[in-house]
Amino acid sequence: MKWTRRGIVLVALAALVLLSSWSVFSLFKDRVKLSGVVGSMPATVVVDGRRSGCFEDEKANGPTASFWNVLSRQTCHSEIIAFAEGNAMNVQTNVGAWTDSSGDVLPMTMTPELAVPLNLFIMSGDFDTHDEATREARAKNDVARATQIFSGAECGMGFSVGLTKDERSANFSADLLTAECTGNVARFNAIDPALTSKPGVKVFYVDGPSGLQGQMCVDGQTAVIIITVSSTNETLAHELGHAFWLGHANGSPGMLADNLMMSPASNPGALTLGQCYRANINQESVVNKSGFRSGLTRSCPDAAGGSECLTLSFSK
Amino acid sequence: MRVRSRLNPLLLVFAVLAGCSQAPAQPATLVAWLDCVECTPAQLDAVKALGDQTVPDFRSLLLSGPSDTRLASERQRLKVAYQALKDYERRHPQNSVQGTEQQYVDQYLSQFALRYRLRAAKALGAIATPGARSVLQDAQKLNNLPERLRTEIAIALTPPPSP
Repeated sequence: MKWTRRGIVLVALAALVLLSSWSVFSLFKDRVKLSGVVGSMPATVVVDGRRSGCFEDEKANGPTASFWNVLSRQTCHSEIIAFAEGNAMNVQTNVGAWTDSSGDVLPMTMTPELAVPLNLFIMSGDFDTHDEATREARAKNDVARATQIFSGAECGMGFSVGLTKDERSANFSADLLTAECTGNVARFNAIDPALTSKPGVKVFYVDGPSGLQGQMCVDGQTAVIIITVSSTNETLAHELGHAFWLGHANGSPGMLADNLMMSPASNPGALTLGQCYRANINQESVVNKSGFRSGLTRSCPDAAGGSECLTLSFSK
Repeated sequence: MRVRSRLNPLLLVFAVLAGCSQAPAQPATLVAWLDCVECTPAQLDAVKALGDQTVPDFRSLLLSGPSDTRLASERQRLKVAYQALKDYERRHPQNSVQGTEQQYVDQYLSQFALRYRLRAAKALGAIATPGARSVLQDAQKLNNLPERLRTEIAIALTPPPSP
């Protein structure tokens, strides 16, 4: 096909219009620039601030996130929350750096994501073969799945296996294998006091009661989790969600059926940014109580909204 | 127009046949009981309230495990999860998943089937009608039951303590 002179002119004009409109648009933009984000990992920036009035929870993709000109805060709530895969959640409050002019570039330095140690206690083997190694391999895959779900959702946290111990011969009575953790936290801790006192969330692999895939019980600054032979590949992640003070998502407005915190759940695996935010910020979350995270905490029950709590269903 | 008038009855027949070949949908109450993560007494009570009408479903689940359709959908779900793990592992090599896709699926699919059978046993124990107890007794006669399931059936057949 031959290019006519008219065709070339038209294409050039179209390119010029596109380029100029892009630069005109960018004239009215401000930016949040995240540093420390590894490679091309997905990132999301959420801003509260002021334009013609106060606005809340406007999001853009990072690591350089563009927003229409954000004005100086005056009396508005001014905050930036940055999420990125592989990085800890970063919250800047009382942001006073926005000016009334466009072109502001606000830097945020991201740090590596939180590594929450999980200590695995294998109290019963595979339900069929009774093999410990099979159950242990499944436990480690549970941890990998939990990390992929939380970190991949940009929650800013992953999980490491602190220790794994075959406790099948430990000193405990048989009824503990089918017991709930509710009311039995001390008994679970007593199976191996030297190891259950180590820092980390304690995960006990048991036979379990048939009505539970898993269960989380608060244990002072940390948590005891039981995982039963009825569990799925997401049960550990779900129970960790409870340890981070997330409730069941059923009936919460805007929550989708594939959410990790659904129960009953036929296809769990997703987390919203609203849930990631809570897992980090809630005072009662194990990451704060156990000191795996330091920094700002708030009280954001699932139903909370407003300027200080992202709506639970707020998504990427 | 002529084509349409020929096709519609054919489609209707096909739809009816296709509908007949599918397993009947299980009531939401039953599905909720099978898939709850931390089941509540209310979820068990709801199943109990359905009484004998759910016994055929629970009989099938207890004796044979989940239907082929349900197993296939769970298998597919596990494959998708494995691929998501592998994608994540490419970005974060330290978070590695152990085993092949087939091993991963097999690991969890057997627990999935066990869960449905355990929950069927517990539900039948709660329903406790002669029909429900008869299913539990039939299951007890199977000689290839996992130990945990055999225990659950025995518990389900134990009469509740008198007040």
